[in-house]
Amino acid sequence: MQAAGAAAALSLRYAVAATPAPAGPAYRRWEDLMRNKWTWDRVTHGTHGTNCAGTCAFNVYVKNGIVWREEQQGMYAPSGADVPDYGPRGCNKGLRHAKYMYGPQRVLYPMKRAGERGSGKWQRISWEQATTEIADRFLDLATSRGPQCITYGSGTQMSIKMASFASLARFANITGVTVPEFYSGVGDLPTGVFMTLGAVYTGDTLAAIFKARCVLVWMANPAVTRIPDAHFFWEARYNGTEVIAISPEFTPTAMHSSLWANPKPGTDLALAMAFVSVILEERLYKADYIREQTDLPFLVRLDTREFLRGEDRSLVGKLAVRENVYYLWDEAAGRVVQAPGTGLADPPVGRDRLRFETLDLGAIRPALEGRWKVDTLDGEVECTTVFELLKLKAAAHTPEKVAAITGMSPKLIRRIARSFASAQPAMIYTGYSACKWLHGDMLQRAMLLMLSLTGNIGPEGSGIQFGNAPKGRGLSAFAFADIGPALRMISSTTWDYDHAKLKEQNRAIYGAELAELYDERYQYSIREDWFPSYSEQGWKMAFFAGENALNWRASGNQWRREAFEKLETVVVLTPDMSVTAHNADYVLPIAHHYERQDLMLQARMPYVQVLDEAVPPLGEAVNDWEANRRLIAAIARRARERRTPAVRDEVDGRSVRRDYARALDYYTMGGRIRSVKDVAQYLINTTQGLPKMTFDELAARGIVRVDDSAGVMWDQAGSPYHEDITRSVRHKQPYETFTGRQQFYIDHEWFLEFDEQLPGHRDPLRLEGYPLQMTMGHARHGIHSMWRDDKLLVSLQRGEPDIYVNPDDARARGVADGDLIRVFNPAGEFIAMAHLSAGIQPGMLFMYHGWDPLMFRGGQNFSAVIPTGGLIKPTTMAGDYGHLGYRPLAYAPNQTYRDFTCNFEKAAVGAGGRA
Amino acid sequence: MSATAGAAAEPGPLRGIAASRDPEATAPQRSLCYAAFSELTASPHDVEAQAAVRSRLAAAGALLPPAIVVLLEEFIAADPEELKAGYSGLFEVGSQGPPAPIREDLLTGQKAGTREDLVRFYDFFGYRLDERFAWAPDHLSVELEFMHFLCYHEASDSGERLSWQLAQADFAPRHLANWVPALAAGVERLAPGAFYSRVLAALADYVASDLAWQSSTIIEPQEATHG
Repeated sequence: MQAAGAAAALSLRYAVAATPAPAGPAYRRWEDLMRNKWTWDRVTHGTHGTNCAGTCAFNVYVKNGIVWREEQQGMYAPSGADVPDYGPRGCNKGLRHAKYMYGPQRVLYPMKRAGERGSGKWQRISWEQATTEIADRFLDLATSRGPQCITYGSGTQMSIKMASFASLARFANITGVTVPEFYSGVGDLPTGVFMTLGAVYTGDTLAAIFKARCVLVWMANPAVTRIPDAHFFWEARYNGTEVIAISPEFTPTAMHSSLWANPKPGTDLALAMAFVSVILEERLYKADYIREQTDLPFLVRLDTREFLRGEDRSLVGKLAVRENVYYLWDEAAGRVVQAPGTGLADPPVGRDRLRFETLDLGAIRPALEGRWKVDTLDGEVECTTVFELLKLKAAAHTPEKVAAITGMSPKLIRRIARSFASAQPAMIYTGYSACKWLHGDMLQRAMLLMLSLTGNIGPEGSGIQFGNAPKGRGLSAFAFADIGPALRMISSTTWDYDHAKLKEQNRAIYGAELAELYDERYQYSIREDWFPSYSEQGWKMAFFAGENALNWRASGNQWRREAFEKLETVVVLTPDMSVTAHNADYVLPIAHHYERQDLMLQARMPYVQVLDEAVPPLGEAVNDWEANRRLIAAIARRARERRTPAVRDEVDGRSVRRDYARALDYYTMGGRIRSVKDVAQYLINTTQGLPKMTFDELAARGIVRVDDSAGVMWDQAGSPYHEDITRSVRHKQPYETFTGRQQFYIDHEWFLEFDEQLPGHRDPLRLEGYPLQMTMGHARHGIHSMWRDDKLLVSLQRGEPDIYVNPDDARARGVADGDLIRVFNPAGEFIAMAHLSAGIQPGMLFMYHGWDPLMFRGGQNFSAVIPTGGLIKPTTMAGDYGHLGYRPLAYAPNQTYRDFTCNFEKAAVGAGGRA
Repeated sequence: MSATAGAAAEPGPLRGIAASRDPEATAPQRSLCYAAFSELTASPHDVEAQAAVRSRLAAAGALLPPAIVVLLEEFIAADPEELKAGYSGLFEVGSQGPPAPIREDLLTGQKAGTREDLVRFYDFFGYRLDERFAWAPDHLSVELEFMHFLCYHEASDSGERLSWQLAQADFAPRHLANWVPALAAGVERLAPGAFYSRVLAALADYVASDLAWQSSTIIEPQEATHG
């Protein structure tokens, strides 16, 4: 009887014990289960905090603690009565997330490797064990070598969510770890825009597209990459706007455009300068605009090719910084005059004075053309204008001259240039691919020339559309609160160069001459402190949060071999497995999009978007704030247990005391910040342009319109986004450039040496014997590597990674559609399925990116053949020149990804599908 | 009786249970077996099961089949850390998902409806998961606990016994029998002869034989009555 009693006992470990036995009607068949209407326990608001930057408002439907589905919220208003609204927003990836978040790729528990790195052998461990072991390793290194030998790299999965990124910033500020920022590291930083405008965040809302009369969609594919916003292009077309797609391959965007132009890969700069030459030759420019807004009328000495500056002459204003005084030839007075608004100290020192200065020319009428003898301290010197020099440069880029370079007919080039110049306003919508070419900076400078010459920087529906970003006040307030700034941020481009022996790869791939030249300038820049380096203590330990570094690094194999594999400890914080996690020592589980509280600001539309916790994080996952709290709590606990004294650190010349035993107190602001919700609230309270409300109010509404967002442009100081352009164009305050103008002429000695004082065509680098230029682009079915492995989305493609090949190139190599091909060059090789397409030019390969190496046969992806990691263009590391010099997330050299060639052949595939 | 036009259709003929089922005798033992398997397949990281199994063996070991008792004894004697390592390496963590997912939804390829069917079963019978485990209604240990729960009520709820019996008869083929054999085969491939391989093999056998036994006690409606 005792046994029977025990057998009869109900023993529940997973269910709520108090739940009564069957409620409702009797069960007779399984169909009875379906008779009750399915109802939701709750519906929350959320989005996908990833770097499509779409921030699409979704309703998230929850029953029994499970997210079952999501649906577009679609409650957006327009930016004015004459433009379409922003809704509905969403795409195929977001609508898969309720399934994906429960998928096999999900990291649910802290993991420690149980075999060799990359062996795939893991054991689940507790958070306590993981954080204690990691903290001990951290303290060993921080106290012996200094915290700079430990990096905390964050990808967009983490950093695009405001509270998450703020948590990382505070963690890094307290601990002193080096933060290699990814903006330049992934080759997304529009350095040419910064060189010209002194700002990189110049984009408007995407409704501005509707206001344009002509849009060049150039090196971009918004039909694929901006699914929630692409409607603005097509609505504009219906409204009479000419949408011209410029891309070597026939893209889904080209398909819907008014016109498709297909220059050869890497010749866009020549094409842009040809457009400039037509605008100048046919006098399609707006002279009054460029006289006031640009440096085109500024005088240049013909003997030195440098600007005529105050230091060349004796008479300058008493408040002026002499080297920052520039001159014009005033046609009205017939003499040299100081350009208004010049003579300020370099930004940021001179930034406060900018608002008291003006670009207004008053009675001055600057000449654009001519030569004059000017008295200087060196005697009489012949001077001309930047405009004249530009004409000379443009004359070398006539449509006829660049036809052979671009493969485009002169007639078509002229036709596009005239359409563009005659449309008012006209816009260039360009993607980050422009930054991924070695000379992408000059391409952007040329694009800006096209826009500026035609008066198309400033008006609604004009401009170069790269994007914008929230002003950083709220973020920095949180990161530095109570402790002050002690953040060690660096471009991951330069960090990788230091640690992955990329000079050696440059020598092997591009030759000794280039390798030595680039390295000499690199070392000079570091030595002169134009750019920081925190490399002297080596790279010993790395955290990778929300980034899949082994997936996307240029010079992928070299970086992996020389840098990653030499790390003593690798910690990956991620919601999903990846090749980086696969090769880590510890993997910590992070909450996915519907399992966290956070908020997102993305300037493409005027709303702040909430992420609410629809369900608790799966397994033992936690949000980023909590993960960092657990790490820093362990560091503090172990520091106390080990009696670790405070460490004296130095960051950029500032002395910093790092007391790790108190790190948790700092992190939580003495206990005031208890959860990620508190972080979000702090950011709401301190971020400019965010309506002041509680997080709960925001969560209840999902999306809330931001301040000063009535129009399609960010043009008011109270908005959350940068409004540098309208500040200068409408309010005539100087730009934050050396010249205080849109600066097209850069007379830094390196620019002069490399003949880059003005933009001009350069051939893309090629590898001898490898005839095919390979380009890539963002994919329709994934955001970087996220969702790229989703079973349904993969089934909508070829089922495995594919690469687009021209049929003639394929035929010449005996390759048929669907064959596996080996793509190779001296850097490496990978296997992918050939996807034959007549939309691909002969002599090129195209691949949508993001496929994780783990999805490839042989475990190598495209990064194996990209040898460009060390191609650090010297002029992008120039400094001591007004606005040029390292600015985190604004001015740094890009890691580029395009200047190489490769070849392919039919792959010999053996047993198990391995080549 | 035939349905008339416009009127709601009458429910079809119903299944019944043979008197030979003897629920007072069989349900407690089956409930015990499913509880034991639930404990054996629970994550040692999440559920402290060794103490519970020890007391269960002491109290009711005689009611359990010898094959299960052997596994339970091995389980309670095992080093907890080794159990954790063996379990997580097979079922919980891996570079491309766990080598042998111990969740039905994952093992069967995330087919539409799998989890909804589970949740509807659980909801119908008032089996509501704790928030900590709510995200994984398809975990093998949870499904086995649900079978334990159904058997328990078959034994104790004579008033609505048919509901509990028929639910088992439907739940087992729609879920457990649908994927446990594949899981057992996968684990045997990955870790031949290992503890969890033997647990899964025993479970697959038990599920199959129990389902066969259940079927033998169900009286299906006559085909003719459909006409």
